[in-house]
Amino acid sequence: MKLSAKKLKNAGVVILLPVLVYLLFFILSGGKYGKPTTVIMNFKQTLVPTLISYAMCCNVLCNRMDLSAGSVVMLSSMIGAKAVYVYHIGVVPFALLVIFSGIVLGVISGVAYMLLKVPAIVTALGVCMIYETFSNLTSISWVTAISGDTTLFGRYPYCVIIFVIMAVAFYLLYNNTKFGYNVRACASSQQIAKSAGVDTRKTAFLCYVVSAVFLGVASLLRISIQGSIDTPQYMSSTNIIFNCLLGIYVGIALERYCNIVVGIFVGNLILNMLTSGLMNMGLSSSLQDTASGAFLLLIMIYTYNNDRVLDHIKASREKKELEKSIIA
Amino acid sequence: MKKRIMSLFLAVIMVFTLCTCSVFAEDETTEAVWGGESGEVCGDENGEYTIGVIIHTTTDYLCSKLKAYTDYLGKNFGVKFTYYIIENFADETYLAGIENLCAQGVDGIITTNFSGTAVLQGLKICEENGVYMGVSWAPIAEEIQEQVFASDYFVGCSYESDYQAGYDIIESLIDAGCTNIAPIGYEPGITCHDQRWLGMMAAFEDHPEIKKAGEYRGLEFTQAVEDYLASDETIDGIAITLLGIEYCTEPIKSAGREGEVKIAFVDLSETCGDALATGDTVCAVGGQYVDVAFTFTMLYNALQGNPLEKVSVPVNFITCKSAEEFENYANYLHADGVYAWTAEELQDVIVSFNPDASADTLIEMGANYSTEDTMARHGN
Repeated sequence: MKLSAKKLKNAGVVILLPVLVYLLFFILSGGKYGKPTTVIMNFKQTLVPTLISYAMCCNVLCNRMDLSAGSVVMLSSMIGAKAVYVYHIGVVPFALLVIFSGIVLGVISGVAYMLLKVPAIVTALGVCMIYETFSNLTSISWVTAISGDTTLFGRYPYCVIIFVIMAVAFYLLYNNTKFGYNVRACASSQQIAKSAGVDTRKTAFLCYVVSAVFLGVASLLRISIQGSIDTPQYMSSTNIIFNCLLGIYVGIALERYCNIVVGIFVGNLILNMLTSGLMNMGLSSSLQDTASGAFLLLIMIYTYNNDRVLDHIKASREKKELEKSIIA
Repeated sequence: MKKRIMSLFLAVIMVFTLCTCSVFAEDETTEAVWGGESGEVCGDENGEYTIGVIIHTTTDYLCSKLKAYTDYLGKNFGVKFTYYIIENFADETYLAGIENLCAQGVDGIITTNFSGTAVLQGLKICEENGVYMGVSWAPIAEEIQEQVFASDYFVGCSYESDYQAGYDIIESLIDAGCTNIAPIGYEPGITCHDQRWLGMMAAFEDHPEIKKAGEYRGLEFTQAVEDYLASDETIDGIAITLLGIEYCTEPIKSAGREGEVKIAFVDLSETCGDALATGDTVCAVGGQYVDVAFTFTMLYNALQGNPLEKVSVPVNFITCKSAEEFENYANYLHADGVYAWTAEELQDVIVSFNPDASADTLIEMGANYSTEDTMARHGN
């Protein structure tokens, strides 16, 4: 009974966050923000960043920053889009090509990390540059676009079905498999995990493989929803992953209230609501970034410190009651 | 055994990646080269002069036509064109391109979208190597104009009225009945896009009755369209400084707002005709491939020892507000083998063919450039 109450309370906290953000912008915009279409759009916009966050999650937890994830998404989308442009392939071969390219590119990134034995961030930067160059080679112009039936998987309900399948798969993988336990062991301490018999190298490689699969599917959803892929320049592919990283950190912060799989989704949803909410208030793009950062910081501060604050309030109250009882 | 399997796996992956990129790097109609590479050539292979062109791509609707035009001009005037493809618009990238082309021994260079004070640095490299330089798609900034025009190796520049184009796309949306318009622009730093953005903002100022839904300047255009549509369901127009159909169509569909949100943009593409016919696109501005004819003419005269007076040539944009207008543009200005000015017509501004040729004629040509003008000259 007590457990159910706690679960309900935790669920309430997790749901409260996006609801608060929604209400905040709803009030600030005088009711202009937050119509059903906005909520549906925000939900759809959350799908791809969440999948990318899932892809990066295991590596981030194990302190490996895979900055090449964005370039994998861009290059695999670009390969698919170019194949549509040049060979007019159908939606199924297109989908398979994008996913397969994503998997291959992600695995190459993992193999490079395993073989080069340099910090993950260094390997990722190198791989990112190479993939961006390949994207440039493959692209047609500033933007390579697809349209019509090729974007089928970006429409309702297909995009949601694909997302749910991947989210459930990640949930099972993370919570119910040896791999998931190993990742969590490595996340706590690589040394202790190694001493306890976890094959950390194998786990690291598997993290990249899992990441590759999720990046492949994320690429498919991204290009199907957006209908175009930009040619990356100035390491612009890393832009894709920064918001996704924030989603992961919100997910980690919410881990005490819910499973990280749900937390990451909520984190990405909040970030999308922030963007559209701030845009609705007429803020320019640079100010939006600043406001998003500040707002996110507030959420993180609250999430990480609310227990401390509540404990402090509780302790003060108990102290006062104790003092009263002593005086009485 | 494990090592062998791993080696085989890696080899397969490597071959796949290389094959994919090499297959897609060249499509059926154009040779695509990206990423600071040179070597893509056109025109007269054994031409008397070699002109280098620095550009961001040669494969899209605009730039492939520009390349085709240089090929045509090169073959008619005995000039070989070497393309240097840049992967970004940073000053260092342009300067590296100029250095590279000079090292290859070109006689002249046409830079596209090259602006700001870096033009002076580029010109210095050209002077050191005895190479002439002309600038396309960008005016010379006022603060350096005197210095640039004083250089013996600068031949002139040509540019479009990007400010007016930005103003026009907002006005066309207003004319189409839009009342809440979302402006989207390329990130600050490229003169043509900066000017288009300023033009858009000026139009908003002149129409206070129209709501500006927000401001976005960056590189995530599709995301920006999605964000705008998610944030405000009353948005009924999107103005974007580049490639509107490619960036806006799917997000509008995705938001379920097809037919409700109109778009206007700069840069024409193959699909403009259909988009204008459905009414989803109310205005598309472009046709700036002809710009290269001006810098080419100025360079060619200089290379022959007959430089024209150095000028900045303003060139009209082509504005299409109906499918018919776009069809005329496509047929009379953009189709294979047709160009705004034929080689015979351009002889009029080349001193070796016409001793009376002058820069004033170039300015007049730029001012007269339109579909109607071309149809009147080539319509039959």
